[in-house]
Amino acid sequence: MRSNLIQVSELSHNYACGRSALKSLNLVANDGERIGIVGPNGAGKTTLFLKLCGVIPSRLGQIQIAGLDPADSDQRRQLPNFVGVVFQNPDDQLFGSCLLDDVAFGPLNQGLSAKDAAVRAEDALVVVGLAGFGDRVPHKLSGGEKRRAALAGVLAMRPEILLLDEPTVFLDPRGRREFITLLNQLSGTILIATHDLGLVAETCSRAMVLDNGQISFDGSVSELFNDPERLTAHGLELPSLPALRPESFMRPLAQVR
Amino acid sequence: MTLALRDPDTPDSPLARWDPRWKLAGVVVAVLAIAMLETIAASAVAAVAAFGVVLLARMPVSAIFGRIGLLLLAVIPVFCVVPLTQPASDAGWDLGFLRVSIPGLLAAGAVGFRVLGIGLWGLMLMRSGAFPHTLAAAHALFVPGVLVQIAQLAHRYTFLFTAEARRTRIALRTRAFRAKTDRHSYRTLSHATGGLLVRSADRAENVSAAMRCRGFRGEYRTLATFQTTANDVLGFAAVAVGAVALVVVDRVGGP
Repeated sequence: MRSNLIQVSELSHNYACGRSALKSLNLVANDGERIGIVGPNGAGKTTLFLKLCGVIPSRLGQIQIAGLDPADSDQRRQLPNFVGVVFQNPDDQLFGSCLLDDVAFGPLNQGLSAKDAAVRAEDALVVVGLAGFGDRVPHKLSGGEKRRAALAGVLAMRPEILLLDEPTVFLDPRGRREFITLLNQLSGTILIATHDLGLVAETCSRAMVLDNGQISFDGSVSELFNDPERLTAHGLELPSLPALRPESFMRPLAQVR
Repeated sequence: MTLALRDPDTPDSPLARWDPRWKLAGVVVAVLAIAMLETIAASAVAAVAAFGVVLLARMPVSAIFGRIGLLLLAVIPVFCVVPLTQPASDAGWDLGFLRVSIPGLLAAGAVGFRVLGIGLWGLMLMRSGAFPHTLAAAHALFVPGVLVQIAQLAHRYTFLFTAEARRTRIALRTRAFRAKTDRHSYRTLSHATGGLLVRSADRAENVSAAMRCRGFRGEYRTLATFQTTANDVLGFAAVAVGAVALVVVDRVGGP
């Protein structure tokens, strides 16, 4: 297990309008960890992910992710081999004209032959439960299928780190359940930005509260869920399902279903 | 009127089985040849041949005639203007202060047939194979990858854009908006259109970010593979010979 797989130091970001999205943020994540980054809308979760994957430029030395610095253009080019991002809106990510082409897009960019890329894409579609969907066009998929297809596109690149931005938003209960089951089957380091605390409870062992561009809490999920005042202070709320009562989180996460 | 767009299925046909590279090359040759025609007779032959090609693609007849109707609609301005713009010495008829020239009518007819011919070849190309395969074939025929990528993204996001436009229209209607010829309607429609364009620009940024996150560096890559058979080459040769023969006949027997 590699420690400090992701290391962020004093990371700040201001939008053109002058609003601060991130304020001197520090973060460390180790290999194999599953971290839920929770916070209200506009807290800076998406900005943090865009910084981590190099879409929004950062300064040299602020971010080290899988041993690479996104601020360095050569290292940034290698990032997609190690870091996969699933964006909030799957329609932003499904740009291929059919699903197989779309999922194979990343492996082809990694330099794989068309044959190997197709095999990788088909494997990834099987993993996300979309076997046989290769010929389907993205705009004819349901919301849940689109979400899983977007994840397949990233998984086909076999990244070490997965960044999932609001992965359950717009999903119906069944789609959400299927997606959570799928996430629990994946290995590797996973960071999930969400305000779906039920999702965090079922998939993560560690939670961070990001509000107003700063991390105000970093600890175990059970610790966070046993502190309703903290949640309320950051505009968060425990799900009201009986299975997600605070005492449920005292049990190991694998039993929380 | 509906804004719904549908990506039609490709019916099985000899043209659907034609290697997309040879098919694309054949279409380019045919279109260039039709564009070079001058006489109405040769143009009419080209249009009839193109109609035959579309029938060979086994497209539904209703769809073919629907597209022909649209193409004819597009050439109406040519029929309205060209016969009136020829020299007064030409043979023709006087309609009040206007003189309708027969050579002008023939020229307009030739333009109409050429538009029909080129349009039908284009229709065959679009409907006898998957669009992404045709784009991959274009790339194999040395069309720059950036252009191919842009065309592919435009194809994909046209559907999304129309779905968004449809949602906007429904949202307007549910708030009791009915388009009229008044200032409020124009302002509302321009705001809605502006909103759509802003969202499209925003989406373009997001798509660009998603592509870069998956290792895209500006190079077009595809899973499509092609295999040429003797029939593919023969098909192209038949189109090329027919095209050259038509142009030669047109020039030899021209006006």
